[in-house]
Amino acid sequence: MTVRARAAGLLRYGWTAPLALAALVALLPALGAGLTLQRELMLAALYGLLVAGFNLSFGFGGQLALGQVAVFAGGAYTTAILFSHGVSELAIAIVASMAVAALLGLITGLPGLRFSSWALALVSFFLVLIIPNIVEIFSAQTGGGNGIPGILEPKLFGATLDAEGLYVATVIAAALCLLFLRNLVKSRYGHGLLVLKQGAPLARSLGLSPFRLRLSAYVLAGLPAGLAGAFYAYYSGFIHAESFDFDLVTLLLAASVIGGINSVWAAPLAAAILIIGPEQASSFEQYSLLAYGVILMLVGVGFSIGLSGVGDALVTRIVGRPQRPAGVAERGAVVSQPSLVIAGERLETRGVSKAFAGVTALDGVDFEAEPGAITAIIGANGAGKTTLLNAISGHVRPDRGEVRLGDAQLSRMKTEQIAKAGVARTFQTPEIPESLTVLEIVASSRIGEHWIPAAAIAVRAPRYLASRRQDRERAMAALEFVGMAEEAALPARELPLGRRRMLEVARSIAAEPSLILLDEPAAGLDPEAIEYLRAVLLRMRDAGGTVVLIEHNVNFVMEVADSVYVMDLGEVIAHAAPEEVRQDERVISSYLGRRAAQAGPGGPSGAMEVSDAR
Amino acid sequence: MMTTIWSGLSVGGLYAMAGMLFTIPLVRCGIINFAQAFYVVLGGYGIVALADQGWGTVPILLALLIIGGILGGLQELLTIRPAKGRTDTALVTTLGMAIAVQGFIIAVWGTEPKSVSFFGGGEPFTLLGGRIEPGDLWLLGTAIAAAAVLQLAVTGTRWGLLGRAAMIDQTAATLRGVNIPRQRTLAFALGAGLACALALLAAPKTGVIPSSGLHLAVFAFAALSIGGLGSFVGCLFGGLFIGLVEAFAARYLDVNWAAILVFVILCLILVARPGGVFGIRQLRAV
Repeated sequence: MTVRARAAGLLRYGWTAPLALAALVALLPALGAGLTLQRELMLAALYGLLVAGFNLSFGFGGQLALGQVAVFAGGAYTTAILFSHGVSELAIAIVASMAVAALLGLITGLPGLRFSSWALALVSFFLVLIIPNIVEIFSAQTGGGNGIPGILEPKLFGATLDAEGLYVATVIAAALCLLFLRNLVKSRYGHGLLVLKQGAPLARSLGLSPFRLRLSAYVLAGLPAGLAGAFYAYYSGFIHAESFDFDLVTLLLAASVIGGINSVWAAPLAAAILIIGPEQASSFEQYSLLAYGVILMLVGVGFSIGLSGVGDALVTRIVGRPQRPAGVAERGAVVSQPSLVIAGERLETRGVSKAFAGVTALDGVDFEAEPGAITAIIGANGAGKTTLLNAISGHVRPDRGEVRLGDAQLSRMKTEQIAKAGVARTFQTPEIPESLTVLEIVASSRIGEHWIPAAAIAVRAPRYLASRRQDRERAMAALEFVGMAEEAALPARELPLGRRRMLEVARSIAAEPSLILLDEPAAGLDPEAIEYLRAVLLRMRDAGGTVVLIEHNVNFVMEVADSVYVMDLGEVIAHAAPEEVRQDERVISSYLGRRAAQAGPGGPSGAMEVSDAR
Repeated sequence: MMTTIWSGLSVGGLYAMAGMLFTIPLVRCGIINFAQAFYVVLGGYGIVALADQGWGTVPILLALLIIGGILGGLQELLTIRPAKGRTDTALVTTLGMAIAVQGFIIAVWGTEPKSVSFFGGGEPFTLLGGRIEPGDLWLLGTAIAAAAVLQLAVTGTRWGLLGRAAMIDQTAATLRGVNIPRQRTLAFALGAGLACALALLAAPKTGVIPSSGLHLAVFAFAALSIGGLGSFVGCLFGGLFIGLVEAFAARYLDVNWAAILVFVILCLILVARPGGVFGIRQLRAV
């Protein structure tokens, strides 16, 4: 076993390293660490929780929701108010603060369900701005501008905690919470957020409801903030509105980008740097805000990958990056012959019509596709091909008409329900979340199905592990089916266009679909990649799949399709076997063009290519 | 009563103008420059510093326009252009610029508030049955004039046409020979220059204090969201409306309810009418 292979093996247990570090930090008082350092590390742990929760919506969700500070304030005030009513049991305070935080996360997240980046960022800033006003209005409970002083001596399960005890409890709680968060983001849940960040249409086509996913992310992001708030009340001993202001927001943002916006473990490290750093150079204090601003600009422009990015790069240096097997993509045929059944269903549309602002895109389209056959749709740009595909997959809601798949009536369903009913699709421009590996992307094919509670994922419950294993097996089978098994561990962003297309095909196969919709899979591919695609399509057909193909490359369509629909101006103008379509007068005049008519079937290769086809 | 209306309209005029400053880069390139409101605060400190040197109002105005213009131009060149004008990274970098400006202010001048007197004198007088200060009347008048001029510029000039073309489809505009990056730099410079200059009117009203930047940014955003993203006249009405809501809530309810009320109204309008009341369709806030 080489050193590299051994290192790679150890990586599987990489998650234990931060825990070991946390244990070491928890033991620091016993090793003689002073009170000042203890307090700094506590604050770093608490801010680390805030940042990690914030990253869930910022780094994974792609939304700048700064309401996290308000949620944190809610947690801290909950604990402080409980204390002023004589409840100093930390366990109760934690549960109550987290409950309040989840609720606040939900409320502060509501704008995020509808608003885009700018509005959400500014609305959440507004929320932080009015914290003092809210505190003042409830001054009977919150003490108004005077705050709540003297929050000391918490009890844990009845025993009073001294400063050291609180320190140890803080570090352990933070480490556990971060471990759960890490488990969550490195699971179908985190992948779901990345899929959503890539785009809502992709998320829906994989059966995810963007609404539910965002909502749950805001609630989940609130939990660590609530936990941090509970500990912060006892850490600080004094809660007042000024602790939760613009400066804290900027610290949070700076720590997030310094640690890396997709990170969990780097969050407390970055927070520690920002807390302890200024202490070492006292002159830094007054420049800290200026520095945070500059850091944000640098990161935004792309000059930094954060601590976690540096860490990943180091690991890659030691272990070596997964190599793309040479020549795999260029090989014309799919080598292995895996046996996989794709249980296709019969697709039928009746009278599907759709108009966009008065312009008719689909006009009473009747369309059928059989299992075990490739049904192609051709037509000039604007003929309505993609609109028909979108109407079937639910991305466009037809004005009239019916879509049936097997016994299921799709035309009344939402996109994500249609996906769950067995419709898988690819996109003209491959929709591939960049930061995932090939295997992870294919495994995300049924991410919206059999929802597992976040708690079960966070603690890696057996039922989650079982479903993860199943997802991976199914993904591997799909990758083998398209001949990409050797590329499973590669980061998706390193794939060339042809392989990205194939990756989308694999993802749709892994969904065990009743219907596969392929939107111009051959566009932009070189002849070898097209040949490869042809082999895969035929194999999908032979496996029993119902394959619907939109394509401009007429020669390609004539080679693979069993049946061809020709569309023009939103209507089907011909439906026949490929050879017959070639002879059809209307098809020739509307789409294939005169040259094709003169050359006829069997004419020089390429004569059929339509001049404006992409 | 009338005094409350005047007070609401004047502060509303300020929000409206700050909102218009957001709108200038927005209608050019679809980016909200978060730092805009912080330039206004920086301008306030510029006035303090220059007035200490014995500068007159007109030289200060010119200096603010130039300093702001340079800052805004540099901001675009250094943080927006390298990211090719992508709006998602602009969100982070313009916020970074805002924080950096505030950090710069704190590093140089500290957090102690400073005050600036209005250049036109400060004796309040009675107008239509309410007390108003000359500075307040200037705020309102300038806001109305600015809305009219900017709206005409956008709808009636080649500059406005180029901007709208760039906003609707950058690629198409580029193909027709519009130099998008230069348009963007100019828009950022113009917005920042006017923001610094706005301090001449704003600083006497709000005082010169670092933390006023965030407040102004948020309320200006509320003004333009309510009025409609991309519309200067809408921005004027949105700003005046918010100013009135704030003034009346503070007068008859409670100071603390004023901000909360504006927040709730903002959220409701964003949900019910994402394009605002006067908005351009392409520029939905959500």
